[in-house]
Amino acid sequence: MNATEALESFTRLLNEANVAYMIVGSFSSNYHGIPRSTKDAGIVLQFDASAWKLLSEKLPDGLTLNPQGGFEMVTATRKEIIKVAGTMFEIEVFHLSDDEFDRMRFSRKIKVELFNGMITWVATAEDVIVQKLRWLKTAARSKDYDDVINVMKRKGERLDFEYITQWCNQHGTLEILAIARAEAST
Amino acid sequence: MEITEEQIRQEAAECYARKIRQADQMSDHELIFAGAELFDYACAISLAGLKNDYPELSESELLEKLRGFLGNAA
Repeated sequence: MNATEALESFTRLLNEANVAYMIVGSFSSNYHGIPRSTKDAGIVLQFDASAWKLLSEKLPDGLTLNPQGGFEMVTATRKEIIKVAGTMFEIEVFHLSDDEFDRMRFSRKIKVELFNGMITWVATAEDVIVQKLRWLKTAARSKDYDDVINVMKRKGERLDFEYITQWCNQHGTLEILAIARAEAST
Repeated sequence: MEITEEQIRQEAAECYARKIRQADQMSDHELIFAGAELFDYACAISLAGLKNDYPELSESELLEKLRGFLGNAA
C-alpha cells in the first residue's frame, strides 16, 4: 500500500463510519497553499467509543495502529499513530482536545469534494495559519513558516486577518504573524 | 554572460509565481493527495538509488535503510 492509497482508504473508513474528523498539518497547508512532499498525514478526530472501535478493530488491510501512540507538542494532547505497510508514511490521529482554538478550528472545518464522489474535511486556511504559527513558536521548523507564507500568497486578501490576528494575540504569535505577512506581501 | 543578483531575484520570483499558478490550477483532489503522491515518488526514487548502491539487500532491508536516512524529516 502506498501513501496515497493509505490516506484514501483511511478517510473513506471515517466517512463510512460517520466519525467527525478534519485534515490538519501539512496536508491542509498543501490544500490551501503550495503542495510539498510530507511523510505523515495529520487528522484530528473526535474520539468516542465508536472511533476507538474503528481504529482498533476495523482498519483496512495494510494499516496498523501503533499501540504506543504519542503526544502533540503544542497542546500536549494524545495522538495515535497508524503505520502503513511497505512504506514510511504514517497517519497521525490527534484527539480533539479541550483547547479553545482546537475546538474552534474543528467547528469551522470545510467540506471538500474529491473526484470519486468522496468527501473529506479540512481545516480552513485561516486556521492552518494560526496553528502553524503556534507550532513555529514551539518548534521553530522552517517548513511551517514556508507553509504559512505559501497559504498567505495563494489566498491573499481573501484571508480573514481579523480572525487570524485575534488568535495570534491569544497565542503570543503576533510578531511572527507580522513578519510573515510582510514577507507574503512582497 | 554574467547573471546579476537582480536577475536571480527576478527569476526566483517568477518561479514562485509559477508555483502559485500551478497550485491554483490543481483540483481539490490533487491538492489533498499531492503530499502523499510526492512522498511516494520521492521514496521510489530514493529506493532505486539505494538498490543500485546495495544490490545485495532485500526490499525490506532497503526500506529499513531508507527509514534510517529519513530520520525525523517530514
